[in-house]
Amino acid sequence: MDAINIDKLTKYYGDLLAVDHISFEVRQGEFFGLLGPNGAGKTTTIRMLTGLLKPTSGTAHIMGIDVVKNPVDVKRQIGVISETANPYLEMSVWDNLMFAGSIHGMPKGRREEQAENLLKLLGIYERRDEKVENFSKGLRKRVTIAIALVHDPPLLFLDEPSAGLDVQSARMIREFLRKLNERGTTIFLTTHYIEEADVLCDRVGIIESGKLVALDSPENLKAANKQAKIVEVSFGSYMRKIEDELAQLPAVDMTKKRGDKIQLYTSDPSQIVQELSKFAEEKNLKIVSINTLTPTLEDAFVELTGFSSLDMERMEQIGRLKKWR
Amino acid sequence: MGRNITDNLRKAARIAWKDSKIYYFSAPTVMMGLFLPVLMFLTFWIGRELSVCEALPGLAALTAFFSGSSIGVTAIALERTKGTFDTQLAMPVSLLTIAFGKAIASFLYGFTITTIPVVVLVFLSQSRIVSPVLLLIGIAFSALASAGLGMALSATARHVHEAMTPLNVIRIPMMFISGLFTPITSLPSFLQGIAYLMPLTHTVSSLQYAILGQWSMETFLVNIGVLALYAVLFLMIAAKRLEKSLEKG
Repeated sequence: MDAINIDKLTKYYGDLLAVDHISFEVRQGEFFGLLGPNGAGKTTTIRMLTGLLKPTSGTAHIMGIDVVKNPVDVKRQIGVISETANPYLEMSVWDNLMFAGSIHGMPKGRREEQAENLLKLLGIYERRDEKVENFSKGLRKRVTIAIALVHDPPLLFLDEPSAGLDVQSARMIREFLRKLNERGTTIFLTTHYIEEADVLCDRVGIIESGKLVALDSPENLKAANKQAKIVEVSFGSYMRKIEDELAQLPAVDMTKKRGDKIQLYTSDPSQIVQELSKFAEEKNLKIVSINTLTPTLEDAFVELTGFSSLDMERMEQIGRLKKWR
Repeated sequence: MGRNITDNLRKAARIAWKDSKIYYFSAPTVMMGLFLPVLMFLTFWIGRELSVCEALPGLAALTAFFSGSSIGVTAIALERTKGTFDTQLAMPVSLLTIAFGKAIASFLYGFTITTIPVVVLVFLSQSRIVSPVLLLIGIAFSALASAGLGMALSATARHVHEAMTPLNVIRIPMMFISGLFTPITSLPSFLQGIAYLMPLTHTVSSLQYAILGQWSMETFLVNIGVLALYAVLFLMIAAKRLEKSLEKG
């Protein structure tokens, strides 16, 4: 039995088609990532799978249970960490967990034991009696994770788990999720952090304009990406003039600035290396480092969706600004 | 079946406990809850030649009706704004149970906030009321119907004002045709028909019987029955509207 089985799942908001007949399955024990730019349909998909939104058509089964027909039974099998879901700020960490455990029908002793273990693992046991309103965003996210896991579900849904978190909190959460998956919990993750999906996921689905445009392991997606042969060079410091001149070299298709380095996109890396050494000699420049890069998941993502991670970050910021206004 | 009902009642009780802790039984809400009926009582009493006892049904009816719905109507909208409603929805509990749990908290608040000033006033004024037990029953069913009304109106609200505006549009005109200030029999006949459809009319009538002995036991029982029906109807509407909100996202 698959952990998740989706067949032609579709969602319309009025006339707008948000999710367009997507079908795929997630195996038990798998770490699955759904990637896509903002507005692609990631959150709508996860909300339909977790019973927070009704699909317009199609079916979805979680652990063999129909999401539309038996939403309450489905929710016994899953934990949900959504970007928009928060713990009750006016209650203590401990009361939040006791409330969630009691709604899941856990006996008092078991929910206390589970809450203690989770809070110790997440490093917030000592602060269990504090109200959540005193916590930072990163600590609140840890409380949300503890609430979602208090009943020890076999399947965990995460919608943008590291969005807006500091590096330390995001890393801590990633490590925690990795251990959880190793222990056997199936994880379904949506993210616009491509690197996060690359390092965590066994398989990745890429969604664009509501359609599933790719589904494979990160390595296979990278290998299938026919573009992205990249030579990265550093001359010690970045100069705009040099990048412009490098862009004129015959074998160079495109250039990109990456910190103090310049990336040269080409279909013939060996030709580039020769041209580069001649260029450095003519200009009297010293090559500090030169590397041939393998295609990244981001390259595959850009080719499939036309969006870069930078575009997605910008869109995310615009989205936040609109919310704030 | 029986186990399922017990399970849902237990979950509703936990939701009520959580809502009471967060929204109702905090110091500012309780203070506002006690302050409101005092103001209402003075508005109702000053300038009219009424004894405290004669003014009591009006005080109790207004307090039960206003306090029972006022805070409850904001709870779902506030939870949507804060992102805690999604946390609740992700837990294994039906929409009807969520609405019922929230209504219980609203009911408990309305019942407590109405009973305390009424008891204090009866004690201070040495008033003799016809039946304290029927008075408590009348307050309880009124607070329940009012809590249900709050839930029904707030089920799809994303912001507090979206729920508060329709609530006031409904309950303020209701005050003037419920027999609170003017006897229903003195209203134009078409308004009398509307008045008998209003839950507040049945609140006023039941409390007038329990405190002053006006009307009859049969009328009292009809009043309680209508209030109970309204409570159930409003809860069903709340659950249906919550379901509708899941289609919109």
